[in-house]
Amino acid sequence: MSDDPSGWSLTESDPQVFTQLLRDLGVKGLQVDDLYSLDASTLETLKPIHALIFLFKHVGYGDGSGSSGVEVDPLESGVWFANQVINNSCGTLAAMNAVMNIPAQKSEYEGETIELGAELDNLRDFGAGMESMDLGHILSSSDRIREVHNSFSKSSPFSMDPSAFPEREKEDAYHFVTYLPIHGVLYELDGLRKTPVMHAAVEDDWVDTARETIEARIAAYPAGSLMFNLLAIRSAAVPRLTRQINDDATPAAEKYQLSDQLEHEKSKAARGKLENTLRQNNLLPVVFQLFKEMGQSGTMDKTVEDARAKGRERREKAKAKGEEE
Amino acid sequence: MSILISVPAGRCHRRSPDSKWVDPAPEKGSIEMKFEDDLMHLWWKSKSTGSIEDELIVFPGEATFEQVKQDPTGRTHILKFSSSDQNYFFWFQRANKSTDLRAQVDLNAFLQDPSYRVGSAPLPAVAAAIPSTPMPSSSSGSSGPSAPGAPARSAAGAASLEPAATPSAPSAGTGAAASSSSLSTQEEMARLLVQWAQSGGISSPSGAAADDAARLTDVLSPANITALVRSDPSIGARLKPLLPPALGLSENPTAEDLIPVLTAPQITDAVASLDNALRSGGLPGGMMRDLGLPEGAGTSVKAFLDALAGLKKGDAASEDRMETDE
Repeated sequence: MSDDPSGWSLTESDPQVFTQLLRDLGVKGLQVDDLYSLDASTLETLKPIHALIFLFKHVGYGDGSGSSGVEVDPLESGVWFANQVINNSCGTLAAMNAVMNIPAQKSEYEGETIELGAELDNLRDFGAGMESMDLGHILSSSDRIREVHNSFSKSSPFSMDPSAFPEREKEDAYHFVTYLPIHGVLYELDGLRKTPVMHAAVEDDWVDTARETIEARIAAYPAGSLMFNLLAIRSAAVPRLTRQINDDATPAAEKYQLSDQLEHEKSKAARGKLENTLRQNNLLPVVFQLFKEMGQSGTMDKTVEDARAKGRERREKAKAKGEEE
Repeated sequence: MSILISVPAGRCHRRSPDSKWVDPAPEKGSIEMKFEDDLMHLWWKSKSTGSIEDELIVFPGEATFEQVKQDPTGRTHILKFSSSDQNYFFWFQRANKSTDLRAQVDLNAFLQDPSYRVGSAPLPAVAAAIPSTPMPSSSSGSSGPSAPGAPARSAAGAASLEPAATPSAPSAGTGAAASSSSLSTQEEMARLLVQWAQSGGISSPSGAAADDAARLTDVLSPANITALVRSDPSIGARLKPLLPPALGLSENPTAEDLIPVLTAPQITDAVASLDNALRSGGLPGGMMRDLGLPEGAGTSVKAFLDALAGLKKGDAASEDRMETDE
């Protein structure tokens, strides 16, 4: 099955999904996190950051101007850049555009080596010298990538039906753009644009320059009309923090701080593992069983009455606003 | 730019915004497509006025054009978008039905790939998906559509049509019974359910708005699940086999083991999708039977809740009970 959009599920843009997606594809040494703020102290705890993914949805009137920057030929600039050819894969595509351009880093320490892994290495070799559209088609027709992408939507068999989650924001309405430094230059990789966009030369603190660029972009939209989120692709935290804590050379005061961070990372990872396991397995059997248990427990009538009252109230409110339920 | 394809067809309109029922409009026209400025245009053109209506721009692969199986005449088709909830219904109007399949295949193929060459895709083998009924005859002087072979004024999904244990589906040809233990038949079931629901499933003439005001997510809310799990120490052993092994739960998980799992957002999502499925197309009776519920439990949220309320103590453990009854 090639570029069949109905074969790609809508996925949430949850950083834990991205983290596991990369790992399932064989990528090592990276994790993805929400960036709640771009201020220096927050960034310090998250570094090293290798790429940013800016996802946004524009609501309402007015239009942000397209971003500034210079369009470049990816093949000439040594940038791996795939165009988006299927709507539903937008997040996965942005992640691919990021990791394909993050240089491998060998480390003597366990868990800290950054590499693409055999699967994506092969894909990159296969696509060497190809045009961006063709790279997009390679990604969208990769059974393995689609399989991993879809694996996070297995909690309900109805999840392949786009109308299954009418209340949840549809991921395909979001636009995903990757920002990262390549060969000392900050690039913007937007699968819906023809080419990569070059912004500025950067050195060690590329995130600062990226922040300015993104903030300028946000400012171009009418206030309140832009819904967005920022994800950071960063070095895997647990191995590094563990090593630093166990290192005698680390000052005691710093160790306390690092221990806090490590606890936080571990509980985040555990929660992520739980939720991803649920995402990757059909939950309808246990849901049906819970309903049956509730039915036979005799508490059903009261519970349903309460739910009906809630529902009626909702409908009244909606009617008053002139909407349909 | 030249027209890629032109198929004589009329439009069908929903009886009301919520309704599953569509009625064919008598006006003669055609569905046409052209590829211009890198964009695929599709529209319906009226034969009487010559004017173009309902023009759409469709990105490759964004939409499909398929036959609606529940219409016995086979002439009703649906243009369905993956990126939105919009559906457009049409009915083929050519006097000779034998070209219908080719037309559907070609329209669908153009939607996937603008460079498609008309007529080049092989025609799929079509399984008889539904019991055949006599074609409604167009009697002269009737107020119905004047073109021959028009579908009778009926639902895109017939309420009287109760599919056998497996919902009707194209060439899938699986004897896969509703009770599926192996993963592959479960996945097959899931795929069939989605198709069935998408093509109308069981229609209720009054539509989703008349269904229960109670949402399943308010019935099986995290708070209610927590209370349920805490109230019955034996529930863990019954739930554990149904939960993913990768969670690493013991054979007899405690309430505190279960609560973080059962109140996770993915459970809420699964309940919400069940609510949506019941509200919009229903679930097959065979599946309900296998769950130990009456067949009608799948027709609506209300029917589902009523069936659950009718369960007696011990029904939830019915599988065990049946074994010991032997």
